[in-house]
Amino acid sequence: MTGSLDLYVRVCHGDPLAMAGLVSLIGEEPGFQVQAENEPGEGMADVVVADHACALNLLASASAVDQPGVAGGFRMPRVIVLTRRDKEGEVMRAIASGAHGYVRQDADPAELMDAIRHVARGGSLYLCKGTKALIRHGKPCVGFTAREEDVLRYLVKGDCNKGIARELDISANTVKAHVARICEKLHVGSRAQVAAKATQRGLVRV
Amino acid sequence: MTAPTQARPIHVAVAHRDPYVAAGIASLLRSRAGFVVQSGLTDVDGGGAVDVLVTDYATGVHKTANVPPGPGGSAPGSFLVVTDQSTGWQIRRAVDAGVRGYLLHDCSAEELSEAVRCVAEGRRYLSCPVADQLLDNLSSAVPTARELEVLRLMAQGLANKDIGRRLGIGEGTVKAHVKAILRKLRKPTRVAAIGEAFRCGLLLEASP
Repeated sequence: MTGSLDLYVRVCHGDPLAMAGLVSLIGEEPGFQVQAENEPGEGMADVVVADHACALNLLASASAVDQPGVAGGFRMPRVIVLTRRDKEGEVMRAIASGAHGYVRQDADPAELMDAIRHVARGGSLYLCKGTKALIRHGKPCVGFTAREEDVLRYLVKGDCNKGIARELDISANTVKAHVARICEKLHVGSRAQVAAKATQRGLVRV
Repeated sequence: MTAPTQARPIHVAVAHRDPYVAAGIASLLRSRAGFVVQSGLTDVDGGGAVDVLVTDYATGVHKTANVPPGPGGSAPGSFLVVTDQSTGWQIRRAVDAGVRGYLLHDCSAEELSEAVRCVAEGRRYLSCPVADQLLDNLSSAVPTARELEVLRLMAQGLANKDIGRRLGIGEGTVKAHVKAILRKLRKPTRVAAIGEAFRCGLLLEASP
């Protein structure tokens, strides 16, 4: 590790306070060069540390280019999500979009520094302690179909089957079948329980 | 506008459980004139001359509620909370506990220093979305203690019959409570009411 070149870390965070903190903490770390998001970068960052929303945007636009690792001739930097969001569904969404690391914001900053080094070396997915426990506990992500996700979104709002059927332009019986499948997948017996579980685990985007 | 405060710098202590927010607040305030910043609350309890304490929600609410009046009756520093707890009930609890300033995590550096100045001068500062939530909360009907118990069990997905059994009351009584809850939360169904209860902070999501 000694004598190696500095790591270039780019930071994107929606909250100005956290942004300032990230810049100052990463900047103090020996061997790291930090770059704030709005400064002109020459596409040379090794690692990007971004909040949940920024990271998902970044990963989505990277995958739109369709060649993994290459975007417009530049090597795509590896992305670490640094966030306060700690629900299972949110973690899974980030990993599924191709994030290389997931670190909670209330974790010790030393963990973030580890994550940056690990990811820059080309290491596999880095999860901070809190997140690891979360993924091991619950079975990773309940596989809902796109239609089931539609139904779930309205169900959590409190709509009845008829109302959901009208919104999605399908029959009430079809909705009923979807709701039954959703209950089965979540191992619960009532729609109120579905709503409770789906919200707690962050399985719906509100 | 803020010329008079230039005379004496404002002493600020920062203690936030999010290390990045803590570092950010400290570095932003240090980069501006008129602030003296220290990290942590250690000296504060010893009666240091701190004007404003910037903390996370839990620390702010807990400490304000438990801080004894300073020696000689001088008021100890006032608390400014920076948090993402943005629901009406959460804000109300903090203000009731004695928190003087309330900002959300996405506030700008300008707003932060403005809020610190306000609180240091003995005024209160609520950011716009926070004030909105608080005012909305004032007009909402308050559920009784029993209704809250029922609401909590409802949110676990229990049916009226099971709620009755848990609380040792009849199913009819539960039904009446549920009706009152739906009316107070202005929602037509129990699932919608549960969602609203979390949204307004009447129920808090247990963190995993």
